[in-house]
Amino acid sequence: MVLLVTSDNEQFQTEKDIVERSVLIKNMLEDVGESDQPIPLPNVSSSVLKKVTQPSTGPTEIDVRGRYLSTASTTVESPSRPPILEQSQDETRKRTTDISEWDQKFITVDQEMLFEIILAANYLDIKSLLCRRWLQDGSQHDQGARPPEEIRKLFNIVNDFTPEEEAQIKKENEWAEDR
Amino acid sequence: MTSLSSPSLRLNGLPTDILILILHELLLVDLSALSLTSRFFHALVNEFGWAGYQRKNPRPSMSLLKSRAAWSAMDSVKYDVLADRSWSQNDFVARPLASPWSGKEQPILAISPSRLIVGAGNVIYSYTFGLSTNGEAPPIVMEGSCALITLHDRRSCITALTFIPDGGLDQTLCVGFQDGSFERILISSRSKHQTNTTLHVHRQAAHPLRLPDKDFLESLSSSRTSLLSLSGSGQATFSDIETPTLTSTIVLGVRSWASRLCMESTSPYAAFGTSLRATPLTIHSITSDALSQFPSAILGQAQPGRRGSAYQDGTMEQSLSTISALPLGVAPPTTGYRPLLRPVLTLDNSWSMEPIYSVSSGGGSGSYVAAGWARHSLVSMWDVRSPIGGLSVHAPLNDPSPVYSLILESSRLFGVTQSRPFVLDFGPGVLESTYPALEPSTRGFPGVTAENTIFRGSTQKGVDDIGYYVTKFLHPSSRTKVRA
Repeated sequence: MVLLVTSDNEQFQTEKDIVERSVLIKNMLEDVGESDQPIPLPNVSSSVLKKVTQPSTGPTEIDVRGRYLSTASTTVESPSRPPILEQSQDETRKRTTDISEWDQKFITVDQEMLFEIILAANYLDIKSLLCRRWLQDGSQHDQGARPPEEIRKLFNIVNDFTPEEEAQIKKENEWAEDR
Repeated sequence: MTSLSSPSLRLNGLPTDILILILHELLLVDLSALSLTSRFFHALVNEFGWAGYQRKNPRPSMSLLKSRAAWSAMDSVKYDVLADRSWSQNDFVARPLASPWSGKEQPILAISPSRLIVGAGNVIYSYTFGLSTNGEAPPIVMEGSCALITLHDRRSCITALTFIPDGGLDQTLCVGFQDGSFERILISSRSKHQTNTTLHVHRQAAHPLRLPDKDFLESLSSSRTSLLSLSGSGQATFSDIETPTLTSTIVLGVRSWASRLCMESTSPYAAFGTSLRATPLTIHSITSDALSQFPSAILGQAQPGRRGSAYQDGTMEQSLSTISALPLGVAPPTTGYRPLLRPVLTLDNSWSMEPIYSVSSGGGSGSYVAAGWARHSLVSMWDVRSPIGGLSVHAPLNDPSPVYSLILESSRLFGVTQSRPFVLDFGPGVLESTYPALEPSTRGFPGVTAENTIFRGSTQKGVDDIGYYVTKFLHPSSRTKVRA
């Protein structure tokens, strides 16, 4: 167990393998060695840390290409349906079997929390939390990206394109549509 | 989801470096959608998104390298995505790159970011890679040819060919002849006014191999400033390009076919493909500029009994090309310990019982393996992600020949038969002018006329009459699936 102390001075006893998802903490532990000393996290509040380290329900491996997980087995059998247009270098790596409920709950935190989590993930160096699911439609994992309108709404992005510009870029990006 | 309107909670309120990190996790469709949300994100995706995507999804290709440098990251990703899509649809343009040679040759190919070189008999043919814009495929232009020895003697045939580093000029070749002699060839750049197809070269004899009678040079491979040669009887010589007299030689003592040198690895190695059934492919580490006498790893066959001798060369070659995928760096280079590595994947097209003469890997998504068979200019291609399927193609004009050499890039497969080189191009934007125009020929394939030079059946690309007709068939398992 590792003792973490957040910015609001709360203490957390956390499993070592969970905190080691954070590259920052992992390196710290390696540098310090076995110790009972608490690790201060001055940039992370307790509410955020709870989200980041939820122990038993957290995904052990977040696959950013999660939406293909359900089709992975069929593509091997059926070359007529091209295996995936998203070619990660790493298609063969071990895949988790499903997008957990955890993920869905995770993305439905309010936006303020979501940004704090992103910032904390960056500070703690947890790559898996800096992932595309922020843009993905939480209810329909297999449907690919949210439409731009939804992304705008979700993140308060102001559309400053002229309609002509928007149509132009849409046309330029046609090739990227999932087929 | 709570919608908060405080400006600090806008996504673009996050530090840009974090946004860029997030961009790097995104899929194509996400990048596209995000770039459509606002000017800020459009700019961010254009500046960092596509380039990040490209880094995570590399599609190595020599013939595209120079054009890519001129393309935007988005254009590059677009080219790759469209090429990958054509691969998955078995959709390509097939072109011969030359009129047939008068004799039957056993040619070989070598490639650099500037040129494709074909060595056939005692002649080298050079093609240069042009630059392209506006979504067109980078053109391939016949630069010229040059006979290295006027007398066509069997012992003076080119049997090995490799580019050697010359600071990015891509004009220096090491050419090996059957008798074990070498030449360093410097190709002079063409002047703009030159109209004939003579390739001007500067030749310099290099330190020859001392090969026993009846032995011959089989293979040549270079890496960084080192050169590795292999004779048919299994004499392997490792040397430095600048000081060719300092050599390290080992004798494998078996009929040997193929070699590969890798000096970039943290533990440099040489790999040899031989006819020895128990140890068809061996890895020898290189320490202090010397080849180790004993292999540090041996790649075995899946089921030695099953494939039989007819497959033997093929299996070896095949393993040789996929070798870089194996964790060679971890094999301890001690002489006593020789792990026997079993293949994790065996590919066949279940129709051809012939030996495989050539093999290369790359292709769509970087996940294809191509093999050239001993007869009917047949090439098979497999996607290692769905290896039971795959596609076989007879090279354009169907030369009754083995496919002696293959180079597979992300979008193009270069190959060569006894009569001519050819290309299968899966990339977008192929035009009539992308490849050299050829005199109409009927040699070896009566009945080739304008009417049956149709192609790339799909109208989706909007191209017609650019490719040559080729016979292609899906491997049995794919065909079943197509019907299902």
